[in-house]
Amino acid sequence: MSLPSTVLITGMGAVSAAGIGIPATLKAFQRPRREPAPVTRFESLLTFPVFEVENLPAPPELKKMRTYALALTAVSEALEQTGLSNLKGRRVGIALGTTVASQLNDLEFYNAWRSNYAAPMEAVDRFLSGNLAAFIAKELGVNGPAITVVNACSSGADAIGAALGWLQSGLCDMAIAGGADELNRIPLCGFNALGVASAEACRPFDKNRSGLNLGEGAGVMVLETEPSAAARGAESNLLLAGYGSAVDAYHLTAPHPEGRGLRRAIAQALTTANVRDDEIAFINTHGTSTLENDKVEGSTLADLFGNTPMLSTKGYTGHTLGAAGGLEAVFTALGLREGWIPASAGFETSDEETGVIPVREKTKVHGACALSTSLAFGGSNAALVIKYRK
Amino acid sequence: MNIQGIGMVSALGRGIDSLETVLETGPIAPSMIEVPFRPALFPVYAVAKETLKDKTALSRMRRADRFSKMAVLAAIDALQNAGIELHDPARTGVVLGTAFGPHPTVFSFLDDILEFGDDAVSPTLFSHSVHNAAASYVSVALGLAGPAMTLTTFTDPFHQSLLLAQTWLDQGVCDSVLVGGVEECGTVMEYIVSRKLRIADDETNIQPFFAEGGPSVIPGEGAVFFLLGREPAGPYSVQFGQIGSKAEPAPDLWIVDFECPALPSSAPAGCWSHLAGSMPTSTAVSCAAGALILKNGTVYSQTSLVKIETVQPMQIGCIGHKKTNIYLGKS
Repeated sequence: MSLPSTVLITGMGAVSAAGIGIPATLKAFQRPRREPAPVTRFESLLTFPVFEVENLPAPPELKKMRTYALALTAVSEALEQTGLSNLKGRRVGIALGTTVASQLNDLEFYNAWRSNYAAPMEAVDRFLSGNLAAFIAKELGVNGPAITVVNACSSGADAIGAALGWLQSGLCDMAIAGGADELNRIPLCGFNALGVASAEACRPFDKNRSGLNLGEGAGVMVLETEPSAAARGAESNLLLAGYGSAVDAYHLTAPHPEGRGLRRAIAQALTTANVRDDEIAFINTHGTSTLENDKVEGSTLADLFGNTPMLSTKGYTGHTLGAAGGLEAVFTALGLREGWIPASAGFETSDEETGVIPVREKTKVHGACALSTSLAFGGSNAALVIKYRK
Repeated sequence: MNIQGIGMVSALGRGIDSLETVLETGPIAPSMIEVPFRPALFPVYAVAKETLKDKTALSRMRRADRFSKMAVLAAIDALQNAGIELHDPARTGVVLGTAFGPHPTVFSFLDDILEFGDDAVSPTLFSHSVHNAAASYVSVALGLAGPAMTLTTFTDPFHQSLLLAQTWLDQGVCDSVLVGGVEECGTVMEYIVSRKLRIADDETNIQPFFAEGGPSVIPGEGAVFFLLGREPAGPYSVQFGQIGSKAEPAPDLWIVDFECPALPSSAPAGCWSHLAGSMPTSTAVSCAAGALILKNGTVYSQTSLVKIETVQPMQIGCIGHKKTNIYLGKS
């Protein structure tokens, strides 16, 4: 299967605990790892460390819509790189992944409802004012296809994949795609209940890993067909070359032990990108630091790619759920563009069960193609192939 | 995209036959339920508990919530309705569109937090509160191993789901795709609907289209799944055509979702989706009605304010909340 349209990455934006914006992020990637801390944004009995975004610029109307503020910040940075002052008259699609922003989960509203069955509607109105993709579409004044992808932790990668499909089918000429998610009490409680939240800083693929740290952020790409970019005199060396997605059809929360769906997703991504496995210069893994994810993902990648350099960036950002696939796609593209990848923060001791040894230091990239993988609740697996064209 | 099979779970019952029966015989009365936010009984087209009892189909999902069960049963029925074997499970995808997802499960999880505290919540409730749990169960129940995507928009989840399925089929990612719309209506949503819309007293008082002060509705819930493929198969000989603002040739019948803001004037128009209750994925019900109309060559009588002239439609346009239309025609 080889798809005809070349899709360029003409803009990128990233917001996470590693930094607001790409320059700050790259700077953080060169420093020793950040230390997560107990959540300060809301009250909780749980003291598990998390990665919060500090000093997020947010207009007052988005004070209680943090995911939207995160997304808008990343979208603004990505659009700035395109050199476009506005998108009017252009055929633009919006595909954004999230988890928290898709749910009517306002505890204040719900507590009031439980008290007297007559809750005020402010939280509902806020929720109904537009879901994430519709909100960004409205902000930008575009009316192409718009979806909020809610595939749990692969949402951001799947949103990018959906946008790639639109562009290759001619449904739009440009797409803003990625993911955004805020720290929220619901997943904090949920991941604790599942027993996968770590009491210490996460250590992806480390033998002594003890779970994940939640994070928040947004990672967004502006994707554009080559003719669309050429028509406005824009160029980019970065290509979104391939996408694959497949489910395990196995379990709601546990990955298939042999990485069944992940293998198919990777194979599909490589095929659509017309890239061989030995052309992959590095892999930005999902690498959550949970026992099961890292065991299955690591052993699958070791089997498929041997000693290809790989890393997890969750030691810098935490697990940002619906934003993770978007952020990590941006980080993968940055690795190709900058010619180096950061140390896989938190990794110290190799684990025979995972079979992989992530890079321990800033590492030079040799090659022009890279892979980003995402695994999710529901057995969803997504893989993106990004190319750097010299 | 050819419609190879349709499955539906709603207040009308289970299976596409349940919709066909109501199209032929007229609307059924909604359930009148007690709700804590108003003294009068509240009308809702709710899926009956008995409809969701299927020990064989649901054998691997005893802990699943109603949202997931509705989705799985409708997806299974779509496949059975098609009467075909899927040759390669890895070549069949799932796209599930929803506006609000499994919100009663989310609220149950919030109950846990409020009653037991942050450190004593149910992991099962949490894992089911995630929107894509239902699509995961569909994949497991049917042994499908292709891509599975769950997406949300408030205005046009079924339209967007079809667009995505079309790209998968056109680009050879899949040979067939199960595309569905799923909504659940719990007590909190009933309260929100009562605050936002005019609630009809009963099924005879539903006022679609241009009723002063907005349409009066009865909320509903359910799941509708279509098995779609590149080639014609199954009982319909009907295909989805263009998904966009205009189509050639122009439709000779419009099917309009209940809350559609503008009625087209270019051809007769009808509305049937409210027979299963009003919900954000009503367009999926409209499309199922359209497929039956094309298959049977019958335009069913209207219970709404809009009169249908005698037509033998060959091309149907379905209009939802936005101006993006879905066109259905004979294969």
